[in-house]
Amino acid sequence: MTQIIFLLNKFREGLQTFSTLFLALYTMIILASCEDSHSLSLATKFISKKHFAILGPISDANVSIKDADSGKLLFLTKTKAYANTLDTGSFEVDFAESLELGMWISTEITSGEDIDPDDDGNITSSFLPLRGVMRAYCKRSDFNDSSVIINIFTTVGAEFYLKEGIEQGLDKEEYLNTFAKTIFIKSIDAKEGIDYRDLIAYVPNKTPNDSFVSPTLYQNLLLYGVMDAVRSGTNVTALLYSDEDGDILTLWEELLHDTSPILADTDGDAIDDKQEILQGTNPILKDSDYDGIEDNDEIVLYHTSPIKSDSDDDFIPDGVEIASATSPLDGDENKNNIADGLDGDPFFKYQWHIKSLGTVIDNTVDIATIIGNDLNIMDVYHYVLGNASGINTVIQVIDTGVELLHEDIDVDLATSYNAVTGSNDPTSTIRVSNSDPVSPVEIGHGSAVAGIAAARTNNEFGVRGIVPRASIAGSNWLEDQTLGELERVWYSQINDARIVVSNNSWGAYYLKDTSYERLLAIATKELRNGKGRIFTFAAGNSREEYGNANLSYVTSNPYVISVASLNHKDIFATYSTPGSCILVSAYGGEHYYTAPTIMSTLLMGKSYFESELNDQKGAITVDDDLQKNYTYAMNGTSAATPMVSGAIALVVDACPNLSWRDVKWLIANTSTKIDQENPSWIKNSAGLTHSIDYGYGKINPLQMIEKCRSKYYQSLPEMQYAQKSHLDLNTLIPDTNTTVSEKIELSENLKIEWVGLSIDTNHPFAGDLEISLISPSGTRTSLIKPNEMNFAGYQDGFRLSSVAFVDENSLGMWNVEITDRLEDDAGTLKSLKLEVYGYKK
Amino acid sequence: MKTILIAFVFIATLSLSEEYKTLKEYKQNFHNVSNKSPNRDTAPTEIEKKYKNFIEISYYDINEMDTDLLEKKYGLDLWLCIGDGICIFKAKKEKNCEIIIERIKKEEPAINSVKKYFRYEFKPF
Repeated sequence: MTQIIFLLNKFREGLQTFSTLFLALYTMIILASCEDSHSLSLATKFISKKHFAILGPISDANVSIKDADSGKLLFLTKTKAYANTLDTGSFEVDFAESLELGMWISTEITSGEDIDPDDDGNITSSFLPLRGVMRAYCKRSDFNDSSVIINIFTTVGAEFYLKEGIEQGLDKEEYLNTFAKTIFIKSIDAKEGIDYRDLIAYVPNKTPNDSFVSPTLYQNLLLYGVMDAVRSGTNVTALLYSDEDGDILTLWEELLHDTSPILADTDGDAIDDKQEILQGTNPILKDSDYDGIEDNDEIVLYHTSPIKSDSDDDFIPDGVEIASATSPLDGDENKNNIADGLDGDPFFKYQWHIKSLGTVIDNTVDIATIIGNDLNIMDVYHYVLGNASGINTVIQVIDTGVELLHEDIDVDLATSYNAVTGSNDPTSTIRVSNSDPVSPVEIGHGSAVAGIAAARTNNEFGVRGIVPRASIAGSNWLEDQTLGELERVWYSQINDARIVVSNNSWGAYYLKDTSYERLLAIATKELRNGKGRIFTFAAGNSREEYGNANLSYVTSNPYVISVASLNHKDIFATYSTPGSCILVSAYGGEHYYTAPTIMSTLLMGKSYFESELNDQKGAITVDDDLQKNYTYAMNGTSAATPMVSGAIALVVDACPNLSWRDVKWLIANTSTKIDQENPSWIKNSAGLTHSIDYGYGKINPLQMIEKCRSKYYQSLPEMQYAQKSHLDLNTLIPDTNTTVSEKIELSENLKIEWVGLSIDTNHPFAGDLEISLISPSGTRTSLIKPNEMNFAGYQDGFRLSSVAFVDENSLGMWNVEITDRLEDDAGTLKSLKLEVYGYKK
Repeated sequence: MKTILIAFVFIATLSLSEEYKTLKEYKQNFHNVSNKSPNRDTAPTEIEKKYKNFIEISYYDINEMDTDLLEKKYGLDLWLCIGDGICIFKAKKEKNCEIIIERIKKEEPAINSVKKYFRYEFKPF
């Protein structure tokens, strides 16, 4: 005995973490499957595949293999004892050749020891003996097809079948298939539907949370004693049928619904869990529809719907209506046939980017917008917008200034900054020219940007912003442009946590300077209580000059969200700069006078009509803007960017705990693919589609909110960094359209968020080069195409970047392809450096 | 088969040449070394003039910062430190700016970048 304890202790010392064991175990299961695929092709009579008994794993246990129908013992073996071999709990079966593949097999595990009873991945606690029985039902053929895992789910499923399935004379396969469907919402093996085989394929801690009906199901089986019951041999079904809190839900039902088995009203909203399930409200959320009113108050006090945030369909959530003393049950209180939420912004009818009515709304061009080609924001107002409606949200607009006294913009003085005067009045210090008609558009640029993001709604003035009631932290930094002043507004002086997003509708054609991203790095790390301010940047308007967002470090860095521009056809605008660093698109309209552009605020009284230009083309506002405070001439990626900023503010209003990285991830995973036939779309190995013209597509705030509010959503783990350099390459880049390839192997495996490739070449005309990057899984993106750079722009290193590889694995061989597309010059590739930001999963 | 392949490559090259025809013309017409698009205004602004003898220095590691040393060694006056290891100095004599920058590049390995603190021509998009 002493010898055994000594050996056990020795083994325990040798194995530091149980997670290592699980990883090895999982690998063995996979390997066993591969091995068997091979043996299957030879014969089925001898099976050497490893199968497993897992609660902990169960070491040194008896394994009885029986005919499930007759109970006849077919085979007897033991699981491997705990040892350094890492296959603890495994066993092998050698079936008789004559057994039919379709027959049902019952596997029972008895005795032995659970070597990780608390299932924390560390072998620090004592082993516990298995006194009960672990069970699994499966077909004889399943032992051939894959490793059979006897686990808590196979055991519970078998116990339920023994208790009620046999009594009711139910078919075993049908019963277990149905049982599996109550546990899993999608198959572990996505290629097939959910059935009993998902039960015998389950490996703890390896199945993603979103594969379960309840993401906490496995942990709660442990927490509420179901694992203990199996180990101790107490009646498992009696435990699962129990109802400790008296809410008429059994323990098993509570586990599936994620409710507490010891609280009848889990969310404390005065409605019992069972009642909530029956009426369709969320039993673990007091306010099921996120409208700011608790479920019971909606039912008893206000008679509004607890599962619909906007009971009267007027685009104002119930909570907002109650707070502002309007009726949540009357959608048109002034009886003017306009829903209350759409009333009070006379020029909303021109804002096709919010709601496209398919009408001709440009007073100069006979081109109609297209119904459906909008940001789908109305549904956000309808169903998911929170009580605040953005009232506590501040959107920073760093631009040419934001007019403090504009009737339709709520400037938050506490967070605004004039970079020229040092005051908190963000109004531009430059006077509008009386003779230059372009002057109000240029100087009013920041006010137009601000209005797109957050012009106030329902105030009887002008237009509405993407966020109905947010405020603007304005700055006229573009009148100064020094790094010191930018540091103030981005980080050190204007650091109020209410600022969710910083909108930057400006940039440069070419910029190689890391100073800006050093400021961004610290602002994303520290601001908003550590969740980081979210920075949006316009990708640029230089497509017609062969521009690329990758040529400027302010749009090509790990911290920003670069935005491309769409026209009313859901196609990239003719000016919209492409780039592999672009994350998302929104509407910027086309060149003015060619197709619809964007209606927004401008400078008070500074707009003008056609008639004021001696009937020449050039009006910047519509005829019914009598006070001339607005413009219909706003366009560019400058206009698209505040739409993204506003959309992000809505999303963060709904899910306040999102970090800047979470927001980027959500955008990549939810944006709408448009212009589907465009050849620039690539599908990466994580299943996401990216385009250098569109990023991941048109921003979709509704989907983002649905995803971040899902019970399966988890914030990204801590950001990690990996890099590899190849120095002293001295590879000739010939002037012959010949592609030069270089490989870089990355040894760290991160889930990718951003990839940078720094290239150092003395090529005298950097714009001649086309550079592509191919990931280890084969995804190819174009980092740069030939452009106007007629100088050695990549001399001493220039970094290009991509967000096209989001969620791919970084491990393995990356390939860089460089081609000189324009004749007359050649160069030498001196070095390459690959950088990856991502996280470990 | 070989002929077809050669023809295909030839056609592909022709179409590529056509795609970048404007670029080729641009390249032939603008031989000067410039980082600006031809349409850009290059006149210095008032703020550029104001900061013409300012130097921006970035450190790899904020803990390596020794601004006193830089002031004494290179005849600089510290004006402002911002963010994460970025400091801006004023050169006592404007004409020495470029020389000082080159010296710092050679002599200060702890410094990530040193350059004139000038205004980029950022434009509203």
